[in-house]
Amino acid sequence: MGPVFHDEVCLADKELLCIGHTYAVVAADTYEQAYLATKLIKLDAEEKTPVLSIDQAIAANSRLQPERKIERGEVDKTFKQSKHILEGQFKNGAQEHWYLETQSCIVVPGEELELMVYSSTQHPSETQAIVSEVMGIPRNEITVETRRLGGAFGGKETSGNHVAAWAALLARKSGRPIRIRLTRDMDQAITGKRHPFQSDWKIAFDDN
Amino acid sequence: MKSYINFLYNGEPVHIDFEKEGLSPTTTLLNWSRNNGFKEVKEGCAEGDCGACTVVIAEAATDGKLKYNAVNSCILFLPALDGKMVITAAGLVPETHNINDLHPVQKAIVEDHATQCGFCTPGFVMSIFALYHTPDQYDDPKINNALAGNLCRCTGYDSIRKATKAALKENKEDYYHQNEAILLKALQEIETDSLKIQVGDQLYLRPTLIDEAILMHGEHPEAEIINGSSDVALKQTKHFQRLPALLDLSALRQIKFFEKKDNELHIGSGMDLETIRGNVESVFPALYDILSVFASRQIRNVATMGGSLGSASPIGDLLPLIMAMDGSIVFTGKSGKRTVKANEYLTGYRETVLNSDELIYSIILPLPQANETVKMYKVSKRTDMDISTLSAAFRLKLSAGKVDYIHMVYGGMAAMTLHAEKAEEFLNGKEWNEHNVNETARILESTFTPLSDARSGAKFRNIVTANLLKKFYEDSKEN
Ligand SMILES: Cc1cc2nc3c(=O)[nH]c(=O)nc-3n(C[C@H](O)[C@H](O)[C@H](O)COP(=O)(O)OP(=O)(O)OC[C@H]3O[C@@H](n4cnc5c(N)ncnc54)[C@H](O)[C@@H]3O)c2cc1C
Ligand code: FES
Ligand code: FES
Repeated sequence: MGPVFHDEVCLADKELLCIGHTYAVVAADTYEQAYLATKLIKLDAEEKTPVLSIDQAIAANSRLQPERKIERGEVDKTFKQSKHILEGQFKNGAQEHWYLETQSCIVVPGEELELMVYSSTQHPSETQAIVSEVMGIPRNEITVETRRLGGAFGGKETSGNHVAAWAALLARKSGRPIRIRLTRDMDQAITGKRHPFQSDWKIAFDDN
Repeated sequence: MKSYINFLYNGEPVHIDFEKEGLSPTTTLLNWSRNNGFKEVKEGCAEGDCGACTVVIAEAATDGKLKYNAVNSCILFLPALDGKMVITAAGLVPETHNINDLHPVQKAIVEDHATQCGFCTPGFVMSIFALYHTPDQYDDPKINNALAGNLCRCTGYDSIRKATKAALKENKEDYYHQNEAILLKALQEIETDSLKIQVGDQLYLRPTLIDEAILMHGEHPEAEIINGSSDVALKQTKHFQRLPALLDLSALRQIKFFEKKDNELHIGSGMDLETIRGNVESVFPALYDILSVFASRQIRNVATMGGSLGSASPIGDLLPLIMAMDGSIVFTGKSGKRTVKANEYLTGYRETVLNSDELIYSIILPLPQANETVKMYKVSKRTDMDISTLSAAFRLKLSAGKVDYIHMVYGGMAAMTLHAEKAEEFLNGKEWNEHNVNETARILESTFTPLSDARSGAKFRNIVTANLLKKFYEDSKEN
């Protein structure tokens, strides 16, 4: 799942890629109990050198996707012939959507395989498709209902799917309705937000 | 001494016996509300920053009328409600689908298109409702300041401000105006007494008299003191820490006072910051200005002078000014009161000379004299509702163009609030002119060795430290 490339797993199993990369979910009667239970999880992992900036990622050849170029004109020829060339770089920082309502979802198990999913998603049919894939059940067993949801600005197009899938897993496992509502800190850590960008630019021009 | 509280919730009486119900006394008003079906109270952050959880607390004021304060329910513990009235957005008028039956504040929100997804709206409605019941001349800056503690990500603030103005202009009597006498009577009939609540291994003490508080403090040295709880509550709501024992001073009327004596202010440690702000606009503009950018109206309505001093934070926004004015802090304990100079209060990072068996009783704050210039500046990423990156308080007296004395006190530049002593010494006796100010600025750039943190780098802090003096110099020319 995930935006554009669908390269995010439901729960991390082999590798933890970032802070907030979720590898376990816990259900309990109260929020506090669930939180305390997560503190008891022992993680057996080996540390690797993290890649923390775009420059580091380029150096380590750890790219999200191939380099992309936007070109106009006859680039190679013009750069050779032009009198003036300017070049530089600009960076756009990452952005958090900060929808006022954090990601939340309720899943109620129904008859046999049925799941009723109340999700604060901007994309109910994708939520349905992903829950179906994660649970290995046909889509027609899953009803997704989106009631009014807090302004999301794109932040609930795909990020809500993880939460819905986790709630579905827990609902199936426990046989009980499950509600997940992320705290603000968890939401900011877990969800993808808008990536930072780094763009190199080069421009050729003559005296006119 | 009792272990239960009584309050009104949207006009209905509520009785909570913590021990009988096995309910933690540090349950927040937000969580209690949502768990009891009042879903109009929203959580956006659980740390007092977004205002989605805003409700109004009304109580009888000294003038015998009801006083309405907007507060953040996400960081307010239930015992603070004893004898008070909670009002939420669903409690303004009986449920209705007819726009004409809405409360004037709600109606204005609808008519001026001041809501989109609606998640922030109940909080905004309550902040505006509090203004609706707090007569004042509301212009744009005042409305902005009162709503600085409410975030909206969808609508844009212009339509919300427009709706606020429309509602305040309408100013029709509402249910709460019409029933003030009945509500006041209902509140007066609630017997309030000291609280001692023990649920499991959690202890919550809320004395009503200062001597009782001192006694409890002696018996339970492990209990963490709270007053507004706007600082301490975050340990639980944001960091999920347990608060095993609390001593809540918010019921102590004896430390809620504000007096102007000669050239001094005597302010009780239990005085809330918004009331202080309302009292100092003309007598102490620098204090008014800093309080106006101190957190938000919701926080100031509960946060106290004692809490600001007690947290002893190096980025606390009041100590720089109190130190620059050479104010004093009065402590109280078993062996009586003692007074220390604010300049001798801090001893290190969040460490003070307050003994473990003492409480902060009050502060004594000299007022600026006619021949003094006093200013305080706060540098933060946002103007409103933000924690200081650094702050500086200046106090200057000139005679015949020369510096008689100058105090420069900086917050956020070291583990504790500090005077820029070298710079002060350098300027003493010198002409107050651009040349000397620039020389001093150079000293200031290397006076402190601040941290680099999420708020800014050390270099930025050093440059701004110097620039604030230059700003003060420019501002001092206006006096
Ligand atoms: C969203 C938000 C914004 C904020 N913005 C600002 C800001 O702009 N500037 C700023 O300076 N602070 C800010 N704060 C911090 C906090 O609100 C203030 O420090 C406030 O003054 C604390 O007052 P309180 O009564 O709520 O303190 P509490 O949380 O009740 O107590 C704070 C500390 O003081 C101690 N204490 C309280 N009363 C006494 C007493 N009488 N005797 C001895 N010790 C005592 C307590 O033990 C505790 O350690 C902000 C907090 C939040 C949540
Ligand atoms: S939930 Fe954000 S201020 Fe209370
Ligand atoms: S209307 Fe969506 S956050 Fe304000």
